[in-house]
Amino acid sequence: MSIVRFENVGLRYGSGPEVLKDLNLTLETGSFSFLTGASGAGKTSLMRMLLLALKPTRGMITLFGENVGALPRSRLPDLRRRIGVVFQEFRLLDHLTTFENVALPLRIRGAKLNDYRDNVMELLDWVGLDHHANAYPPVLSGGEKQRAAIARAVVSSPELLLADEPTGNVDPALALRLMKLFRQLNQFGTTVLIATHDTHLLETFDVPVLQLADGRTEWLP
Amino acid sequence: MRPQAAAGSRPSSATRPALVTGRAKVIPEATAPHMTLMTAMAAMCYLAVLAIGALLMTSAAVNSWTSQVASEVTVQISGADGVDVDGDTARAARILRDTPGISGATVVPAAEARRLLEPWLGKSAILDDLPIPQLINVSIDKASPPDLEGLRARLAAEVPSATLDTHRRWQAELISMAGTLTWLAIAVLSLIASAAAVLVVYATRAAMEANREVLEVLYLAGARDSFISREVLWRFCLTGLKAGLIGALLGFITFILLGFGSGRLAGPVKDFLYDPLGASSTSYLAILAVPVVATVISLITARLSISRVLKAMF
Repeated sequence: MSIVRFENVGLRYGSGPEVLKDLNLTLETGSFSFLTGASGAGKTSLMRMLLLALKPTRGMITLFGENVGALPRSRLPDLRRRIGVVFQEFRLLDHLTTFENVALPLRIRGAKLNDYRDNVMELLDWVGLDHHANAYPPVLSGGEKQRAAIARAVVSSPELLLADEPTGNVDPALALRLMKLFRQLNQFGTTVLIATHDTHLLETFDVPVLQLADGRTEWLP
Repeated sequence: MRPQAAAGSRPSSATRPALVTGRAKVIPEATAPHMTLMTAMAAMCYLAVLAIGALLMTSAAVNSWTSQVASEVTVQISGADGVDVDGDTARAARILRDTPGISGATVVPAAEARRLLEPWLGKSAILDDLPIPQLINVSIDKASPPDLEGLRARLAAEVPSATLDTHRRWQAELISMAGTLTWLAIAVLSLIASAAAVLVVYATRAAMEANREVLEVLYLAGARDSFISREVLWRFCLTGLKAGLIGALLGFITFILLGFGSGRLAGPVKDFLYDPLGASSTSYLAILAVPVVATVISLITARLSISRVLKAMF
């Protein structure tokens, strides 16, 4: 059963040329895949379409069995809540502590602090940031921010996890550790798609790789 | 179920630091132009309080004046040649005293009548040559007023030189003036409310634009418009309330300060200026309504504006 399905999806910005053309791809539920391609190939644009942050200019996107283009705006938050995202540039909120950043998706869902405090602290412990719970993002290192962003992405146990260059700002050892965390999440049932151009990662993990080139995708053998 | 952290890589949870709060505001406050908005709205509220005060003072003064005018009528005995002024005055006074609903009739002495004309004619000898009419001030029992048309007819029949002035024209003009001023005040208040709403729209947009990055993160994490609105609205609500209270307070201070210099003002105006709260419960409520209305305007305008901005943004 597919969790994501793109059919003849195209994307252009304004009146410029199409940056993504005739995308036809399917992600199966519970799969773990890499999305790769040269810088500027459109990986981030593809991820943003998956996140419902960008509308395709043509074609149909089906997420969780729903035709996204046919959904009213008021239904989109329901779908977004089933997706966890790790942004390339982290996008932590500087005025919130690490704990508050990680707990943000739960607050948005209306959860009470007393109900999620232990859960979030456990998650911070899992990513090795429990002693930075009260720290603000500007004082965290790149790797710590990355881990906080990952914790925020998984705190609500999403069905689909999208990570855009999640190891781009960390040393190889930490990158490997983060990838193991993603694999663990995948083993618990989360579908994972990781955008990366880190060839070492692609070689280390034996998972399907979706190549994006010239605005089109193809699964690498 | 959560994946386990690498063994031995982290200290135990027993040594975790206590959380400072865990519930800071999702939308940062410092980036929103609330201080600018509050200053501008406080000025608006101050103007609104002044407009309401002016309206209340005008209303009180007109009520007082019309009440005085309505409680008195005047009978004039013409001083024309051939008229027995003293005899007609006595007859007219008798008729007036016999009329039910009239509580008193006082003949104005000739010297007093001359004094009434002096502001226009001066103290010249010309007054000695003018046929100055004899005036009779008539007090009316407001509880059971007389039949003024019947009285007019009886005077015309029995004392042809007498004319009855009921001051209706003055009353009508005062009421008309009060009506005009009321509409003027309503127009001013409407303009102030509109300007305040425009300010809130501008401030809301500025606040949303300043927090675009934060809003996008919230949206992508699944936030609904209602969540964002709640996070933003309470600040605008508080700003409107504070601005309203500051405006009302400054208004009261202004009235009290004006009261100290109101020696030559009419009674009701002076009463209001000296003691705006004590003037009447209506004035108290009307001025206290300013902070409430400012809060409601902030709330409604910001809510509508937030929805529109969010739809445009995402």
